[in-house]
Parts: sequence; structure tokens; C-alpha cells
Amino acid sequence: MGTDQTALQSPILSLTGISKQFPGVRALEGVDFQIFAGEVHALMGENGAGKSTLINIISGLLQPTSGQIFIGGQEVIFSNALQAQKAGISTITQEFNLVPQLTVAENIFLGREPKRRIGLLNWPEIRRRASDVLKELKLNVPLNQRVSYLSVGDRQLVEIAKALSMDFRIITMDEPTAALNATEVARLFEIIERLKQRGIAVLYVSHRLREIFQIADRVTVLRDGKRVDTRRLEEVSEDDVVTMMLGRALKKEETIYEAIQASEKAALSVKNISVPGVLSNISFDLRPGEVMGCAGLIGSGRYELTRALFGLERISEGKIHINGQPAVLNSPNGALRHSLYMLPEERKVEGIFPDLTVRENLLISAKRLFQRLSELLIDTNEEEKQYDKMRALLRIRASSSAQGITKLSGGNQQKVMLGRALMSNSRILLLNEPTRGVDVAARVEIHAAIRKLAHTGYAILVSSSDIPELVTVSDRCLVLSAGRAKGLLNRAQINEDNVTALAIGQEITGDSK
Amino acid sequence: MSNAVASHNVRSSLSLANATRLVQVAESLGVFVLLVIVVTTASILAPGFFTYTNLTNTLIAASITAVTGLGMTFAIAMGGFDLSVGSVQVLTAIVVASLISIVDPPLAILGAVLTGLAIGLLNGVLISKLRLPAFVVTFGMMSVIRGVALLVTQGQSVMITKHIEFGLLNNGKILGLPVPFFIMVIVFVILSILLKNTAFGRHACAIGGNRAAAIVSGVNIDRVTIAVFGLVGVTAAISGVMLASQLMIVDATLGTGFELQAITVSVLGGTSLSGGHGNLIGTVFAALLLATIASALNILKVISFYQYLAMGALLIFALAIDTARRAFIAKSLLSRS
Repeated sequence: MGTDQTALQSPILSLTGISKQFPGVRALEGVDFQIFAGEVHALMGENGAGKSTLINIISGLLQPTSGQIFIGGQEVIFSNALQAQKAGISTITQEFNLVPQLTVAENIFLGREPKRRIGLLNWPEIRRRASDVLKELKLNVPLNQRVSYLSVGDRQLVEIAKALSMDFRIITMDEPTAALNATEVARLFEIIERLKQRGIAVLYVSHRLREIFQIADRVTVLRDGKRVDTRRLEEVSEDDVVTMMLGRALKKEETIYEAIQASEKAALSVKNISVPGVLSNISFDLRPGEVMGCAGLIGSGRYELTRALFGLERISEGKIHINGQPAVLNSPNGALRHSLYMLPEERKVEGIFPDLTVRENLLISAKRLFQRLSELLIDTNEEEKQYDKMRALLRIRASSSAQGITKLSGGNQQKVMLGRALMSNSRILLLNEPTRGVDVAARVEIHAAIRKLAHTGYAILVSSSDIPELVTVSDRCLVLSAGRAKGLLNRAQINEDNVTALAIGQEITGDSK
Repeated sequence: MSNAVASHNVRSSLSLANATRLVQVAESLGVFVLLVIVVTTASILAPGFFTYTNLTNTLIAASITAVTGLGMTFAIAMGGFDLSVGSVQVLTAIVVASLISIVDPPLAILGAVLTGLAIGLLNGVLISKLRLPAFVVTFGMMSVIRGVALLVTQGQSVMITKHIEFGLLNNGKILGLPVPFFIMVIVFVILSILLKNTAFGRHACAIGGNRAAAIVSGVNIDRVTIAVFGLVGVTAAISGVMLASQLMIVDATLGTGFELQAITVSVLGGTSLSGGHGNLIGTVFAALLLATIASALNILKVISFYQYLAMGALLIFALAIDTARRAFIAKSLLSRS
């Protein structure tokens, strides 16, 4: 669809010579961009390449310093987001614009509710039109369900339903699959396919190369605020796109893994632990020098397992031993005292302190800070030393240790989070989604760092929805399904098919013990 | 990442860091500039404002507000605030005035400070252990403590007749400057060190900035919350002692609206009600500004009713500035992915 037409049609949205100057920095420089009706157009680039700035200009949140925007051949100027919406551009961001306390139908028509003549809401009309859109999306949720009860994937579809009900012609999706499970991703792609058939242009931003090749027709790559190229995806390989993004070829993922001789004694030994309603009867040993993957769909209890070990969920039964000693973990503080650290799943929600500096964010869990009275005052020199060490080890790119954490790119923020794990003095690391929202180059660096840490004797559990990631870093891989351990794969057995099969509850051929 | 990309990123972060730092400097400068303007205007318009006696009195009034304002800034940085400080101020003033007829002044002062500490800790325990909102707890305590103050005094005034040297805490001078100013400076220095150079202060800002992340980072939320409210109680008590030594006769009706003043000087000084950071020097400047305005209005014989008007308007003005500032920062962050 759209393959040959694009040359003949005129673009539905066209940007020419777009530049954006921020105080002291040029975020975009002379970017040309066109998107056609019925096209899925991917926008790629490293963190900081200017993708977000471009999206924000298209959605009216930012105004370009120079350059023109045309919709259907007509020049437009958006001074705010509402004007862009009126021109038919919908933006679906990672943070949804839904009101959690309102129902699905109320959210779809929020702000433009069909009314009766005397000003009362026309409920039958709202319900009819909402259910039409939902049917079209094959979204099976009750219209009067409150949005707060929906999964992330369903919320995203409600957001798409809202866009459809408003007759948008261009839908921008920023990392739409970041929080979705495999089933939800497949459903989203089906819907994008249908949007294409309706002649809607989809501007798709993602770090996940594989998805781009699966769903998009063309790709535009940005680097340093400039457009590198726009190519048809059947003309390029994944490596080509990466090279365009980085300006050089990337170290291969496959070269990261190197076998390590793990120690015999378990650092963390979990025996038959259960968390009411979420996990039952989970057992595993995690040894120093090994990276154990943990896979599972949303609802498998994967995140809850790490939370429970970190003292954030109540463990109803079972035993935990740390370095051979029985341990009771009922608070993050207690877990830290047992040398166990958990990297939270969502950096923005449970990770970063937006008001603190890079250094303060890095060292917030450093134990010695809050223990002895003799160390009441923070030793800034010592902190700088630790910061320099971490910056070198994890290749954190920040202008200084006193820079605000929110000024860093997502990948560098994630490295600071990883640094926090190391600075906590913990030898057992439970890492959730270590590369979420991180660009390809940083991803490789983080994976390499995880292997390096295991080499130096850390015991690491990597819990991730990103199965290729687990294949890259794990020595063994625990797969959870509906709150139970479905299998424990060894290195030779770890591949995407096996992990996926176990995660959706199927058996795999061969012994999974 | 290539060098070009790295340097580009660093450059962009640098300029943004500078822009934000400028905003921060402008925040404390903003209230400082306002202070200079108001002092100049008052000196011209209000004859008798720019005299040693009046400036001293203004400085004393500002110091009393600033001490509690500094504690309040800590609480606001943690994402909370304390509405009971006015009641704590009056109760501790009564405590010190009553004790002074029984014991030596240092012990009486200690008694008042411990009273403030105890109330603050109780606030903190109720907020953290019972998971009640700070608004509800301190709003309730505001009334409870006022009630206690009325009960212990039976509605009568308490006059300080023994140890009149207690008044030196107010009208004593060092190098020509009033003692309350030095008390305020000491509190400022201690709180600045606590906020910037201890894990306690950092953890308070962490809780205010992102509570969920603070829990996951192993910050002991309950302990920090209790300690911060204890600290606010102590600063309110110091203000209470200062008030008692200023008036030498206290009763349970004093200190109404003091909580509003403390919150206003914090916010006006550049500490955002959304929590995450505290601007202590801004609080001091804002307290000076508030006292200057009050003094000028007094000299100009504006009836005191208008002072309430001015106070409320200033608070709303400060909040409007805060909102605009956050919008600016949000906008400058939009450029980042």
C-alpha cells in the first residue's frame, strides 16, 4: 500500500527547511520531511538527534525558528497544540492524555461531547459513536469502564480511538510499543495496517529497529538535528539504518556475550516463594558471576518478583537465603542492607529525581551516606570521585556532575540509574528493563556493562519484556507465566522462540530444566 | 556515539543547564531586586522609614518570620507544609514566658524549643505512620495547639516580670545589629548545611521531587518526614521565643496568620510548592520584603486591614510566578527526548 502512489501523490504533510534554535543550541537544522496519505513513516535517530523536537513542531507544541509547514499544499502555522489538532494532526505520546477517573466513552469525547439542544449530554449518541470506533479497533472493553482500570495497551487504543473519532489525517506515535506486551504489539500493528488502508498517515517513532522494518514503508533518519536521509525500507538493511543514525557501524550485539565461570555458591537463593494473587512457588538460585534473564508477559508477575525480593511486595511463604544466610526482606532499606538492589521498571515513575543533579541522583542509594553520625556531612570530593568512576565505567555523557538529571538524554539517564545500582554497594542486582527507551548505541553499551559487571562477580537478574535483550545478556533464563515458573533455560536453549513459547504457556521441545 | 554527536549533546545540555541556572539565580535575585525597589520607594515615600530605629524594628520582624519561613522551606522542599506553625509559635511563646518565672532563661528557652520539637515530631508521626495528608494533620493541629494555648493561659496574658534581661534577645545589639538578626543567620547557616550537605537534606528533596523513586531508592521516608516536621516545630518555637522577648507580654491570640506568612516567604523566595528543592536565601529576602512592606504601610498610616490584603495578594503573585517558571522549565525540557 502506498508504495508506488507516493511518487504521484502530493504529500499530506510537508515540512521544508525546518530549523529550531534553542538558547545556545541548534536542535534542528534545515530539515525537510514529507509524509503521504496511507503511509507509515518511521522517524529514527539517537536520543538527542532532534526527533522529539520535530514531533513537537508537527504537533504544535514548539514553533520552528525558520522553515515552513504545509498541510495538503496549504502553508500552516501552529502556535499551539490545539491548532495542530484542528488541522488533523493527532499525537499519541508515551504519557497518555486520558483522564483516568472518566470512562472510556467519556474520554473519547472529552471536550467535544455531542449535546442535545438544551445543552445536556447526548448519551445515546456518545455511546453509539464510541462503540463504533471501538468496534473498528476490535477493542473489547466496556464503554463505561473507567480508564484507570485498563492496561497500558488498552489505554493506548482508547487514545487511538479518540484520534479516529476526530477524523485525524495524521497520527503521530511516539514509542507506542514501549510498554506493550507481544500480543498488544501485534494488535497495535494490525490497527496501524487498518489506519493505512483508511488513508491515514502514521508517523512512527521508535528505537526498535525490528518494528520499523515490520510496520513502516519509509524511514527518515535524523542525526545532530539534520536529516541524514529518507529511504524506502525495502531498499535498506537494519545495519544501514543504524549506520545512518550513528554515522558509523555499530558493534554487533552477538559479540557481547562471553561465557563466565560463575561461582558455585548462590548469592541469592529463593525457595518456593509466593506473593498472594501474583506469584506462586517460585524457586531459583542466582550465583555471583552470572546474568540470569527473567522473561514473562505483562501479568506474569515478572516485575512483582523483583519487587517482592526488594521488600516492596508481601511474601506470604517461602524462604530466601542471601550468601547462605536466611534473610527477611520487607523493605527496600532492609534489602539494601542485605546487599540487594532493584532497578525499577519505569525510570520516570520510580527512578529519577527530577529536581536533583546527576551526582545526587547517582548517589542517593549509596549506603554510607545515611549510616554513621561521624559521616553526617556529605563528602563532596569523595562523591566527585565516585561520580568520575561511574562516568568512565558506564560512559555517562553529562556536561558536569552538577547538571540536572532531566537534561540528560534517556540513555544517559538510564546509565545513571545503573550507576546508582552499583553505588548502592550491592552485589546482587535485580535490573528491570535496563534498556527501556534507550537508543541502539547506549543499549549495546549497557549490555556490555552488564556482562562486565557479572565478570567482576556481581549476581545479576535482568527482567525484561525485550526478549532479544535477554538472549543477548543471559547465561540462564527464567520464564514466568501467570505467576509460575514455566521453565529455566540454559544458555544453549535461550532463543526467542523458546522464551516466547514458555512465556505464553506452551511447552518447548527438549528439557527445560 | 561519534565525537560530533557527543559534543553536540554536551553543548546542548550545557546551554540548557545554564538557562536553568539563570532561572534559579533570577528567582532569588527577583525577590532581591523587588526588595531593593520596595526599600528605596519606602525610603522616599515614607519619611521615618529609613531611620536606624525603624530599620532595626523591620529587621527584627523580618528575622522572626524568616526563622519559621526557613523551616517551612524545608517542609515545602519535601513536598509538605505545616499550617500549625502560628499556633506553635504562640504556645511556645507562652511556655517560655511562663517558665521564666520559675527557672533561668536558658532552661525556659530549652523548654519552649522542646515543646516545639515535640509538636513537630507528633505532626510527623501522624503524617507518616497514619498516612494522613500534611494538610489535614497540621490544619487540625493548628486548632488543637491554639486550644491548648488558651487552656493553659485561661485566656489571660502572661507577663514576663522576672529575668527582664530576657528582653536582650530582642533589643540587644551586636555591632549595631539586633540580636534576632543573628539568630536568623545562625538558623539560616545550619539549615543551609542540612539541606545541601547532608543525606537528610538530600533525602528530603528526593521525597519532594519523586516520592515513589525515594521509596525504591531506600530512603527512609517515615524517618525523614518526622525529622523535617520536628525541624519545622523547632524553628516555630525559636520564632515563639523571639516573639516573647519582643513583646514581654504574651497571650493565646497572638500569631494568627503566621503560617500564611511563613508559606508566603518560602514561595515568594523561589521555593516551589510542588516540592523537590528549597531556596533558603530567597526565603530570607522574601521575609525582609514582607517586613518592609508592613513597616512602610504602618508609617504611611494605612490601616492594618490593608496589610492582610497585601499579604494575600503577594502570596497569589508568588504562586503565579512559580507557575510561570515551571511552564518555562517544562518548555525548555520539551527539546529533550
